[in-house]
This record gives sequence, structure tokens and C-alpha cells, in this order.
Amino acid sequence: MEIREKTAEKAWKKLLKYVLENGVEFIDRKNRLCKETLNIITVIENSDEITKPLEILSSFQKWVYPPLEEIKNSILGKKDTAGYYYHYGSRAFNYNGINQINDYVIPLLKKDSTNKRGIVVFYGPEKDTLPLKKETPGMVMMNFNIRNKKLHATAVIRSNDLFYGWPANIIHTYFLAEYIGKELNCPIGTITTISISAHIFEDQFEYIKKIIGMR
Amino acid sequence: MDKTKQKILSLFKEKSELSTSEIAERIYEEYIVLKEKLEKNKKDIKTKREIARLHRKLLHHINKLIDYELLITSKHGEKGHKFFSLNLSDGEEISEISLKFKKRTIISKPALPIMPIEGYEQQGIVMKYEFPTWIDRLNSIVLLGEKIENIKELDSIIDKIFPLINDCFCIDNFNEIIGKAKEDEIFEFFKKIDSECENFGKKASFIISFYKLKDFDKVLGKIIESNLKNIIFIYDLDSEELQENFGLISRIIFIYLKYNKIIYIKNKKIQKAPCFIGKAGPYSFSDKEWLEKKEILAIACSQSSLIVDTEKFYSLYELDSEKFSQLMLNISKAFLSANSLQRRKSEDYFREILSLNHPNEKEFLELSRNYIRFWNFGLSQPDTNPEIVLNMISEAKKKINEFSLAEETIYKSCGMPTRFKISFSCSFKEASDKLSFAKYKHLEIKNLEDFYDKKIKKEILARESISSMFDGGNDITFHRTGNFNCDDIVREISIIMGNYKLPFFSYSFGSLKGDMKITSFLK
Repeated sequence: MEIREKTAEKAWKKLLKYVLENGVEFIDRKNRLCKETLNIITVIENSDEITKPLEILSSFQKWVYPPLEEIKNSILGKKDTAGYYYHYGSRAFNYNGINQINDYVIPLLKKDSTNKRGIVVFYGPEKDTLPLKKETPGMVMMNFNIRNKKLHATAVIRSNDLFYGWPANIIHTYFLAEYIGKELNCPIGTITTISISAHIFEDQFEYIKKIIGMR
Repeated sequence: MDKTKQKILSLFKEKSELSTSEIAERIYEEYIVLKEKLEKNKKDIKTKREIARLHRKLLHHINKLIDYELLITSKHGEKGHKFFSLNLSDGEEISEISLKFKKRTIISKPALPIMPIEGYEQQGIVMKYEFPTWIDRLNSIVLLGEKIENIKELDSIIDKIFPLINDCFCIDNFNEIIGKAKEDEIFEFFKKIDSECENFGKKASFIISFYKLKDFDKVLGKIIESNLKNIIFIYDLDSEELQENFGLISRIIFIYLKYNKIIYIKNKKIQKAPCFIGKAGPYSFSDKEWLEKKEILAIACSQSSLIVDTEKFYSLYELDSEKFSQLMLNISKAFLSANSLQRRKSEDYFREILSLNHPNEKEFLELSRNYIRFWNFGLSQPDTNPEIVLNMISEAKKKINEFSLAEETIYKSCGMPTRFKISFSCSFKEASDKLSFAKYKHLEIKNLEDFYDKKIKKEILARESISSMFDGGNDITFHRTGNFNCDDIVREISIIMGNYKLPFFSYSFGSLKGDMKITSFLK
């Protein structure tokens, strides 16, 4: 299944609608009713309004959505932070002492813009493939490709809460692409997510319907 | 640090980014002269060489400063010109350059965002505990005694945690350390800690269980006699240990009686996790989480606290359950913002203590919670129906728990899994000088038979209900009056432990008037 839209907002609404209407129901380990579709690819062609889904979520009074600054810090912050069970930024910039961005992706793409190895991996088997591990990264990896003089970013997400999580995931992908793009002097192209388990939860259905209906 | 390097660093106070040439002009007087000379004759090789020599000399110092992580190369300009700036994170600024090559930084506090409690703060209903350090310090930290070698090591760890807390710290299983130290050493240690607590406005709790504990009464006598009022001992025991250590416990109680001091008891049958007290009120952990914790040395107990003066709330909104729940929800949102700011800066704020838990640094905040402390909440106020109060608090707690769980889910979904927990507890008067006049009715015990009196039993049971709702800890004080001796008190403690679900309580002998019948004990 592939969704391709001009803006983040349109892509999000289409994604939510699709899983709401076509998702397969199941009960997860926390006893929550979910609707799930496996393997959805979502392409955002223009990232100018990448924060729009976040703005929509923040407009609800029922919850407090993480501020943009915190989301940005969680992907660009280089230090591992005691307050989080894991931290994308530190895994990208300092994974067991390896800076995957500055010492690998950027030089690699600088040297060869057609290179297909521009990947950043967040999931670490030695850290995460432990049966009793409480929290492991949902976003497994990102890939950066330069095509038609634009930097295209793709995030692979193993478990993707489309309602609460996806708006933050695309911002993570955007900010990392922006960081790399600046170094390469290359504008951002498409932002793509590959959601392996794309799901929504029953208690979100009411709000999802509201969002789908928003103009 | 040599003068040249200090001079280089001081240049960045005026300008955030400087090129090699700009730095050279300000460091070496001859550099400008040479540059002017070269301007006049661009083929002057001797001058060119001289300029290159100064560049190399300067770059030697700059490279050293980069090695010390004080400077970074900020960009590369035309013709390979390098630009440099201070190696600082967001919010840091250099206040002083240490002679030991260390960077001394002030971590500037991030501005607090607008919070939905400000209206209540203006009304005096809500107060931030220790407002100036609400974000950049923790309320309380617990150190595990069994992980500490000796008093000397403990002393040096306490030095590290002092600047990180704004209320108190607690040493669990302190009996493990006492056994390894001499009496004088222990006494001197407590004198020092008390003096530091006095200077910095903090409290220190020491939890003592009776395992391996011998003759503690000797050193305790000296400590209590010296009126070290910032040091609190909490005796961690169960009914069986109470019987097994009857003699020592009686001797300990005698000391408290003699000096009219409050003795704190923790019932380990009901609660395994530490309970302790600070200026703001009692602290505790979730027992279930405590038992699952990893083997680390230091554990944060409370991040931020808000005091709710319920008396002021009642006077403006009466016992309006909906309004009260709304206030609690707004408080939760305020904590969420505060925690978000604190998390982002945690590596800077708490670096010293995080290193103590290496390689399990992340575990430091894994049990911590935020505290809502209630003052004058009306359980023992003659004009307030306790049933309604209990219901109101219990409803609010349910809503807060739902909100906290939802926020944890959102953060997890966003790839930022974090902990967000809020606990309820009572507030002490010392928490703020703006609290309403205390309307609290003392729980007075005149004799052993009082424990079988229906009215008193009901009063204790009401407090028991509050204790079960106050998951952040609650302190029930039994004010003992009348005639009694130490053995009577031990028996009474045994009754409380055996009949009530009170994880933490205290005995106050403050209203004694001399007829203590303790002379028999002096033998």
C-alpha cells in the first residue's frame, strides 16, 4: 500500500482514513483494541508544512503533545539523556562512539551523491534484542538518497502508532534530513515513511474521525 | 592555563565567532604591523614567513583549546581560513575559566513556559516548592547504604548530591555503614552533615534497620543531645524485629523521650521501599517498582513538587469535586512541561550524580515522580466532611493517573519513551511561608487503652485511608501525652504495626510535662 501526497497533513489524513476503514482489528499485549495494516509506504512530496499534523494534535485539550523543541532535540541532541529510555539523537550521532551522521552519511554522500548506502541505524541488536527490554526504538533506521539534486529521506518504522507517533516520526526524519542537507548544500526532497505495523487504537477513533473531517 | 590561551578565550566574550587572523591581531601586537607591511609590499617573503610563524604559534594554542573541548572549529572560510567559536551547548555560558583547564559554566535556566496553574498561584492556592530551583534541581535523592564502602565515601558522595537537590536526601540501610565506622567518626560525620544542611536549607534522613545494629544508642545519644535538627533517623522494622530488639529499641526511645524529639518508624511489612522526610513533607516510592529496580547507588525520588493549599481552595470554590479535578489536571500539565525541560537538560544538571550509577546512568530517574502536596486538606477539620474530602481526592487521583498514562503512551509513540508519574502526599508547614493557618487536629494518645477506644480507632482508620491514597508517602504523628515509660511506647508501636496499615508514622513526645516514669529505665 502506498500513499503519496503533496503535504504532510494530506498524507496523514489519508493514512488514518485508510487504516480506520481497512485495518484489521486485534487485541494487543496491553489489552487494547487496535486496527492494523502491515507495510504502508507514505510519501510526502513537499515538507514545507511538515509540522501541520503536530499542530493539529496540539490543538486538542485532552492531552499535551510533546513540544516541537523536544522532538527536535530527541533526534538532533547528541547526548544520551537519562530521562528517556532510548534516544534517537545519541544513537545517530554517538552509537557506541560511532557518529553515523558526521563521520559516515555526510562524507559518503559528499563523495558520491549517487551512493545508496546512506543509512543511519537506530536499532541495535546488542542493546535491543533482549526479551526483557522495556523499550526499544520504533524507528529502526533512516536512509538518505540524493536524486535530482534533492535529498530524499526514508524512515523505516517497525511499530507505528499513526495517530500519536507518525506526526513526530516525520518531524524526526525532516530534522535529520535538514541537518544532513545543510552539510551537503542540498535541499530536502521527499520524506517517506515505511510503517511495518501501521496501527491506531480504539480510544483514538473518535479523534481520528474528527481529524479526517477537518478542512 | 597559560596567559595566551586565557587571552584567546576572553576574546569570545566580545564576539561569538572569530577567524585565525582576527584572533592573531588581538593576541600578537606585531601581527598588525606585519600585515600592514605586507599590504605595502605583497612580495615581501620575509614578512610572509613571519606572519605564517605567528599563525602556526597561534594554531598550536587553538588546537590545545580544541583538545580541552573549550573551542570548536565553527566553519571553514575562503582560502582555507578557519573560524572558531566556544564549544558550548544551548543555554551555557562561560562565567570563569578555571586555572585547571576546566570550563566553568553556568547552565542558564530555560525560561518556564506558560503554565495553566498561574491563576491558582496568584490566588495562593498553588505554590511551586522552591521556585528558583524548580526545574534544575531534584527534590530528593536516595543513596543505597549497602553500595557504599564507608563513611568517608558516603561523605564524598553527599558533597556531590548537595548542589542537585532542593529539599532532602536519604541514605537507605545506613546500618550497613555504621558497623564499619568508629563512634567518633560517625558523630563528626553527622555534625558536618547537619551544619551543611543548615547552611543550604536541606534535610537528611538515615534509614536504619536492626540487622547487624549494635549499641546504636550510644552514638544516637550524642547526636540527639547535640540537637542536630536537620538529621532524621527512620527506624525500619516489623513486629518481630520489634520484639527481638526490645532492649535496644527501648533504649533508643528513651533518648527521644529525654530530649522531647520525634521518633520516626517505618513498618517494613507494609512497605519495603524507603520512606523519609524533607522540609516539604514525606517522600516514598512505589513498592512494586522499588523491588524491581536495578542495582544502582543513587536513585531520584522526586523531580518537582507543587503545594496545594486546599483550605484556600475550599474558601474560593468550596468542595467542588469537578473544579478540584480540573485543578489537578492543570497541575499535571505544568509538571509535564517542567519535566520536558528538565529532561532535555538532565545531562547538564545531574552529570555528577549520573556518573555514580555508571554504567546504569539511565536508571537514575526510573523511579522518580512529581509530587502534589496537600496542606490543610480538611480530614481533621471540624467544619469539613472527611468523606467528601476523601472522595474528591480519590477522584482527582484517578484522573491524574489516566492523564499520566496517556502522556507516557504519547511520548512512547513519538519515539521518546519517558516516565511521567505524579504522586500525592501531605505538605509540612515548612514547605512554604505562604500557607494558610494550620487547622490540623493532633492525634493524641494518652494511654495504651486509647488504641481500643472506638473514636480514636476511627481517627486512625481515617488516616490510614489517606495514607493509602497518598502514594507519595504520608506521616501520621501520634502525640503521646500522659504517664508512660519506654516499654509502653514499644508496646504501642507494636499495636500500631500489628493493627493498622500505616507504612510510616511517628511518635511525638513534645507535650510531656516531666512525669515520664523513665527512671526505672535508667538502671
